Order: sequence, then structure tokens, then C-alpha cells
Amino acid sequence: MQARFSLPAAALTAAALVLAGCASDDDDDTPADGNGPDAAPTAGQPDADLEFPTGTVRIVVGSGPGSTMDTMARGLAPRLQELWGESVVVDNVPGANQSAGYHEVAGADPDGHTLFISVHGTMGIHDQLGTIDPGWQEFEWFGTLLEEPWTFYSAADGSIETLDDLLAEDVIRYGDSGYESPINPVALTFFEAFGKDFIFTPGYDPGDAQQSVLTGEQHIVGRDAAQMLRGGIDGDFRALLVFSHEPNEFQPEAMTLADVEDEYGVSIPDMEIFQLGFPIGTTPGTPPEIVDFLADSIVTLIEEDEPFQQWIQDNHMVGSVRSELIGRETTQQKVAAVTEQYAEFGMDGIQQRLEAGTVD
Amino acid sequence: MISALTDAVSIIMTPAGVLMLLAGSVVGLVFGMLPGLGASQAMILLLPFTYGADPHYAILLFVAVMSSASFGGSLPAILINTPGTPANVCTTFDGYPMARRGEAARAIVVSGLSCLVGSIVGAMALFSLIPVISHVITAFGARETFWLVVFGIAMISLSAKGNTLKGLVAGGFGLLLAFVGRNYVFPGERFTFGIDFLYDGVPMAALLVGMFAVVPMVFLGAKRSVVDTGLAEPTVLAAGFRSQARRGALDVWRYRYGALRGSVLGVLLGIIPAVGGATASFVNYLMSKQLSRNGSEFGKGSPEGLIASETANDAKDGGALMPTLAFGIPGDPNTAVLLGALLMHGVALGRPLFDNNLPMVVIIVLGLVLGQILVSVFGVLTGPFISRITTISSYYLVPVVVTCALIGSYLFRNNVWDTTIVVIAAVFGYCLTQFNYPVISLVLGFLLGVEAERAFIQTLIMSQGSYAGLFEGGVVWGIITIMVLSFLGAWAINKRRAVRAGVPVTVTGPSGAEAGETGDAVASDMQSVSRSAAGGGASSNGEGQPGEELPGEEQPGRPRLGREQRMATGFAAVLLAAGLAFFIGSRGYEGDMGLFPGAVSGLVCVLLVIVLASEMSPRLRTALAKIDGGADAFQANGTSDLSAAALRKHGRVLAWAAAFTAAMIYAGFLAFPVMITAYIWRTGRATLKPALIIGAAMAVLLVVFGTAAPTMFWTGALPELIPDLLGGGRIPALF
Repeated sequence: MQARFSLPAAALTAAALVLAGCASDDDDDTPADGNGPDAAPTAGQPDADLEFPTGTVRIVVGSGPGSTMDTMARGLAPRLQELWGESVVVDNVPGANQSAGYHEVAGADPDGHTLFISVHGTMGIHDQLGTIDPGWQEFEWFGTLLEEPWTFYSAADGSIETLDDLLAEDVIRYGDSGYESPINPVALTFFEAFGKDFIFTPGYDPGDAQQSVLTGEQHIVGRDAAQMLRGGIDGDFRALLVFSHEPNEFQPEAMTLADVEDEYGVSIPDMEIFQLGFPIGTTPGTPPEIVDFLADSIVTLIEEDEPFQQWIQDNHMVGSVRSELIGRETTQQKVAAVTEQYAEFGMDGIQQRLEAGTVD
Repeated sequence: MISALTDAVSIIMTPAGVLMLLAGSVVGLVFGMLPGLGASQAMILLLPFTYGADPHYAILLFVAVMSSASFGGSLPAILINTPGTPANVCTTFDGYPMARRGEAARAIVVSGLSCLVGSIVGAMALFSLIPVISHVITAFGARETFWLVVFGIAMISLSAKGNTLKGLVAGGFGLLLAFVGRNYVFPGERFTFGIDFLYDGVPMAALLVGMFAVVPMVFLGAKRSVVDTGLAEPTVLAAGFRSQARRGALDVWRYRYGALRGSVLGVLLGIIPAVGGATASFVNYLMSKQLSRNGSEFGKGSPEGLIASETANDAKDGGALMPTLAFGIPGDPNTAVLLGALLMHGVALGRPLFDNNLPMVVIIVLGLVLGQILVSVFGVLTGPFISRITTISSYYLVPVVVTCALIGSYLFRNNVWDTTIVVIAAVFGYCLTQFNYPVISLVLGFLLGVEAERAFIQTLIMSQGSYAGLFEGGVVWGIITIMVLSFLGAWAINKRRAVRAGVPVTVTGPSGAEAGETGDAVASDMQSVSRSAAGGGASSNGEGQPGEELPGEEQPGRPRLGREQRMATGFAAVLLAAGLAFFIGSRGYEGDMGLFPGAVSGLVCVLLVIVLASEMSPRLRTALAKIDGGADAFQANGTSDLSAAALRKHGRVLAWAAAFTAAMIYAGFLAFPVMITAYIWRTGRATLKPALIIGAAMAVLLVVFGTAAPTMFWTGALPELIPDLLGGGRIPALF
């Protein structure tokens, strides 16, 4: 009796657990629009002579599910899969502020089958602080998938309705994930330009930073418009200032840097580090023709693939996802510009500057 | 709200959603039936396997497990007088007598429908909270969150009756473990000793798996079968299933007001951190007994008693989910693991959850009810037959669970070193259990540690370094007042009980051993619950009389008190040394980086000095126990067995777990079939045939797994022998 019921029970337990494992993998492989993984390659794929890919392609994301990077990867994967006729899976490798994923891809075989989606600012700051190896510029970046200006938001039902209200505060309070967050150089530039004292509170998770504005703990939070719209929380916040000289079509009511110059006589130049950009790259040492093929594939999706174009529209990324941002040289130039601006800004002492909170 | 409901239903009704519900219900049923295991173990084993899956489906799976385990636990309680989970002890009082008089089917139907009523009321309570929760959460900033975390840990520690000091110590160590790795407030890392894979902290999955899944296996592995078949007396179904089922349904209808009252009480008790199903079940059982006109029939096979036990037990899940989802403060082990699952799946809690991810909340609400419906139907139809699963030999169960635990811990982040943390956590968790430090306090501290420090530091920064900032605001003072009143209330109750009992406690051993407590019925019952909870396999009393002393587990070779006292003292000294190491390490960090770890480790050291002194001085232990609610530890944890024979057996299982880990690191997942076969053959002294069959079945499953999910499959560090299945894996650098 004992053995008769013990054996199936053990098998049942194991089967249930393994079933769950298989189910999770299936979910990764299932395209969002319902197209099957074995769909045939389309006729117009880039460089048809190149034998690539020759197996499963992994898109590594340096965060958990739900981030903009992860959303982008999960939007790309099924379309690339259909374009190439090979499996494309998204692999979340969170940790060490994206550097875990970076190192995982940097150490992969240089054959273009392992891709990495990240944030320019985060990687640039890692590079300045010397916490990534190989360096940021050595990575094979081949495109910026999405680019939007940073924007300051206050609570929609709070007392800060305009930039005037914000500047009227004796001390401006704002918070974010940490001292190495890419919003900090943006915010510091603003405070220094206006000579405003501030208190920076680190340690927030992305959602918590927004919540801290709603609870009244903080006056402002720095975010991008698409993220607010995608989360459906744009109604809870008021866009005060977009860090660009051009108005943002999603936040037309926000002031621009040009408005600031007109109204306050304060000149803040348009800088690369004011843009929240999401680059895509692959392992250093990957043959240039494969890197170009990868870039061409992304361009094909942006310009010709209707389901991907619809996905861009559904996710409030129209105007932020642009084919002119894709390409090896374009991206390397961008990386070089951001590196130079961070170096000029002086990331080494940023913690001390943020802790001081007082503008000299 | 309507669109969220529509979205949730559309997700649940997909094939994957239905599969998750079914799988969760079956796994919950099976784990609930196996004494010593429960929903938290099932969830923790499943958790890493779901990483990368759509969070909605993963959480649906967990909620279905959580919802169905307590009913699963009632089946062996009714049929063989052995509660599957601690919360099912009361079920034995009336369920088993009903089964013995040939009404097993009626009892199962009463149990299933009562669980369903409890689940529905709990889910409705949770659902009704949705419109107001955002406003409540907005009142909680960093300082309020800090105090809420302190409140949660304090309540969990307080719930370890007679063990509050050790509960606080365990909670403190949980906090300290959470500080290992990258600092989430300041740049830099702490307490990693230069080990790379600790940069992102102690891996949560590995720690939870080691503490919650492997430790129970250590104790089960020392026994021949999960249930002591000598004590368990299987009952059989009498004829007339349909008429019995009808009578069961009518029973629930007849006592519907009692069922509703018990459900509401269960929800309210569930909201309070640390109140588990066992407490909810007992409180409602005793209250219903007082209120009922047929109170004298309770304990003799009364359907009303069975309803009282089951409704509160299931309804408390809805209550426990409220602080979990709103503030990230879990109410019991199940919600603690669910919290871990939500965090691992990147589900933001609090206002972002209720504002932006309402379908997830509705999925949780519906999952509670639908999982319960499925398991009730399944359990009623198959319970008498499937409950024989409890006769499974531990020789088969232990290696399979250890295998799943190790695979799961690897899948969490594809780092093979994480499996070493499973073994370390298992050894540490085993020691904590043996010396009566509540593991759940440590886990809760670990889960909340980052949040606690973050909120503490943020409050200080915002108040520009003033500690007075921690004490500002009405909500803060409300939480502090409730916390102080809880401690004072517990102290007053303990004092009254001590006075009533005359000689409250006779503490003669380090493990609390020979307690002469003669407390009231609840206290006695609660001890019994704890005993069966931790022990796994302890049979309830034969006649199911509540309030009677339950027969304890056999304690072979027990006790040589001098040796046990030395061991307990030695363990406390080791913990003190670890606490001091954290304290000294904290002082080496610049600025505020070491502030919170320093404060926590300092407090832990002070508490440990008292614990150490009490371990060395029986008089001090007795004095502390008087203040702290009766007998110390042994009553709170019947698993503890420090006899040489038990230690040898436990050590053997731990050594096997370490061997499984080493084999996996070197030879990959395909080492497991060999190790499972070897374990069953060597430990079970069985013939080779069943060992080979189970090993071969596992091999087939793993090959399928490796083929279907190559990126999730660890092939081992040995040279490549079979592409993508055996050998050729790359072990990450340790330093």
C-alpha cells in the first residue's frame, strides 16, 4: 500500500513543479500578438546572404519584468522572431543597477545571438564610476530604441501647480533611486541654474518615487512622459518642465527649456544627458556585418512592420522610437557625447553635491 | 473597477489561466494533505519556476495554492485524524469522530463548503477594500512605513509565545541578512566579503527555499513515513455518498449564520500580522462553542464545530492579504511567501498596485474563490482516495523535494552558486528550529529589511538628520500606541494565566523541555497546534476532545539536559559572535551606510546577551518565561529534538542535501536522477527497483525540461558530454 501510493505521489509532485517551469518558458516564447514562433521569415529581411541568426537569440534586460526596457524587449521579441524565423527570448537579468545584465552579455559568445537593452544614462554613470568592464564605449551598441526628454512632475492635486510655485519653495525636495540615477545630473543642472537649495532623498523604487510625490513627502519626481502614460497615472501628476527646447507632444502643457529662458532669463543648454535613451547592443567583438544586420532588422521593424508600428502607438512611443536613432555609428556618437558630458559634469563628486543640497 | 474585473476574468479564462488554477489547486491540495508541508512550502518550491512567466498567471497559481492547502489539510484530519496543516487541528475534533461513525463524506462536504464560505467572505472583504485603499496608502510615507515594518516584526515575535526574545533576535538577523549586498540607498556594497554573487544580496529564493522547504525535509527525512501509520487509523467511506453529501450541504445551510460569523472573525484576525490559520481557527472554534446551544456536542462529531474550524481558517487569507498588498507587510508565512513572489515578479505593492495594476488585485480575489471551488469539488470527489498520499514514504519525498528546491533556487537568477545558499540556509534554519528561534521572524525581517532601512534613512534625510522626525504624525503615534498596547496586553494575559495556573512554568532544559504549564484551554490547544505544525505527522488526540493534552511525539533518547543546555548556549554564543561581527562591520562603513545595520546589530547583541544568560541560568529562564507567556520554546516548537540519535539522522539528511548540491554544481541537473536513486537505495534500504523507477522518471522529466527550456537548464561544470544537457556549463567567478 505504501509504495503503491508513494510512487505516483512523488511523480505528481515533480511533474507539477516541472510543468510550472515549462509553462513559464512558454510564456516567454509566446508572441504578444499571437504569431507563432515557427512563422516563416519574411522576404525583405536585411542582408539575406548572411547566415544569421543560426539559433535562439536572447534579449537580456538588466531589470525585472515591467520596466520600460523590459516592455521594449517584449515588444521587439515576437516581431524579430517573425522576421528572422528563429526563436527570440527575453531574459531578465536584474541586479547591480543593470551591470549584471551588461556583464552577462559582455561575456557571451561574440556572435550576435545575445543582445542587451539598457539606459544610456545608467551605463554612462557606471562607466564614469568604473563599475563596468569592458567600458561602455567598447560595447557593440547599434541603436537607441527609444529616446525622450526627462520631465519634472508634481502631484496633480498638490500645491505646486507651476514652475513658479516650485521655485517659491525655500527648499525643493525630490527623490529617486540613488545617487547614480541619471535624473540627478539633470536635476542638479536645474537647481544650479536657478540657485535653489534642495534636499535629495535616495532609495526609492521607481513606483515609490512617484508615490512620495503623491503623499507630499517630495515636491517633484523626474520621469518620462511615455512611462506615465503607459502606467495610466498621468492624471495623478502635473508635468512642470520638460528638459528640451522643443515641446513634448505628450506633455504640451509643460514648460520647455526655451520657455524657461524666455520667462526667467535662465539659459539651460539642450544636452544629450537630458534625454532618457534606451540603447540596444551586443557582445564586444561581434563581427561588424552581424551588428549591421541587427541594426537593419530594427530599422525594418520601425519602418515597415505594421504590427510593431501599432505596438509603438499603443505604448505611447510614437515620435520617441525613430529609425534615425538606429545604427552603429549614430549610437557610438551618442555614447561618446554622453560620456563627454558626464565627464564634464563630474560624476565623481555627485554624492557629495547631492548630500550638500545647497547650491553655492 | 469593471474593466479591471473584465481584464482579470479574461486572463483567468485563458488556457494558461485555467491551467494555473488547476495546477495550483492540485499542488495546494497535495501539499496541504502532507503533514509538515503546506501552502508556503508549495509556493516556495514553485516560485523560481515561474520566474519569467507573466506575473498575472504566476500569482494566480500561488493564490490557488494558498487557497486550496487548508482544505487539503482537512482531508487527512477527517479521514485519518492527522491534520495536514496546523490550521486543521480543530478539524480533527469533529471531523474524525464523524468519519468514524461512517459520515466521512458528509464531513468532507461540510469542510469543503465551509472553506468556500470562508474564502468568499475573505475575498469579498478584500474586494470591498479596493475603492478606499489608495486614500489609506497615501497617508503612509517613509516614516509611517518604517513604523509599520517595526510593528510587523514585533507582532510576529510576540506571536512566538514564550519566545519573544528569540523571535526578536531572529527578526534582527533577518534584517541583517537583508543588508548584505548592494546598498539600496547609498552607493556601494556591504557584508559581501568580496563575493561577487552576493552583490545583489542574499538570494531571496535560495533563502526561502532553504528555510521553508529543505528544513522540513530534514525532520521528515529522519522518519520512515510522513504520517506515523501506527497512529493513523484510516477510516473508510460508508455507503450512501450522495445522501451524505446532501446532509453535509444542509448542515452548512443550517449553521449559515455561524459560518458567516466565523468568516468575518477570520478576516478580522487575518488582518493582524502574525495571526495564522491555526489561531483564527481556534479562536472561532472556542467562541462558537460558547455561543452555540449545542456547545456540549463540540468535539464529538458536531458539524457545527467543523464549520467553525474551517470558515475562520479560510477567511483569514482575505484579511491577511490586505496589509500584504497595501503595505507589503505579510500576515503569516503564506502571505510572506506570496509577498516574495510579488516582489520577484516585479509587482509594485501599495498604491501603484491598486492604481495601475488593479486586474492583479482582482485576480488575487478571484483566485482565492475559484481555487477554493476547484479544490472543494476535486477534494469531495477524490478526497478519500487521494488522502492516502499521506502514506508516502519520506525516502521518496525528501530527495524529490530537495531536487526541486535546488533547481528552483538556480532558476531564480541562473546562478549556480545560489544553490550553496540553500544548504547554508537549511543548516542555519535547522539550528534555529532546534533551538527555538522562530524562522518566520527571520524570513519576515529579511523580506522587510531593505524597506525598513530605506524608510529609516529617508525619514532622517527629510528631517535633515533629526531623529525626532521619526516620531512625527498621527499615524506614527497610532502605530506606536497599538504596538505598546499589544505588548502590554500580552504581558497582562500571560501574568493572569500564570497566576491562574499556580506554578506557571518549570523550565529545566534549554529547549524548554519539561513544561508544567496548566494554562487554559486555548493555551493548551495552541501548544498542541504548534507541536503538530512543526512536527509534521503528529497525530491528534484519539477522541478529538479540544482542550485535552494531545499526545506528543515520541522523543527517542531524550533528554540529556546538560548536553542540550551546552548546545543551546553554544548556539546563542555563535549568534552573538555573528551579531558582533555585523556590529563591528557596520562601524567600518562611511557616513550613514553603517547607521541602521549598526543599530540593528547592536540591539540584536543586547538581546542575545539576555538569551545567552537565560540559556545558562534556568532561574533566569523561568523568570523570563513568566513575563513572556508561559513555557519557552519547546511548546512553541515541538520539532526540537536534540537527542544524539535525532541529530545523527538530521545530519545525514543535511549531508545528503549538500551532496545533491555539489553533484548538481559539477554534473548539472542530470546528476539528480542518480542522486535520488542513491538516496532512496541507501537511506530507504529499499530494493533497487523503486529507486531506479523514481530516478528514471526524474531523468525523463529533466531531459524534457532541458530540451524545452535550454536557457534555464544547468548542464554542469564538467566537460561537455551531451550538448545542452550534460557538461559544458560555465560557473561564474566567485570573487
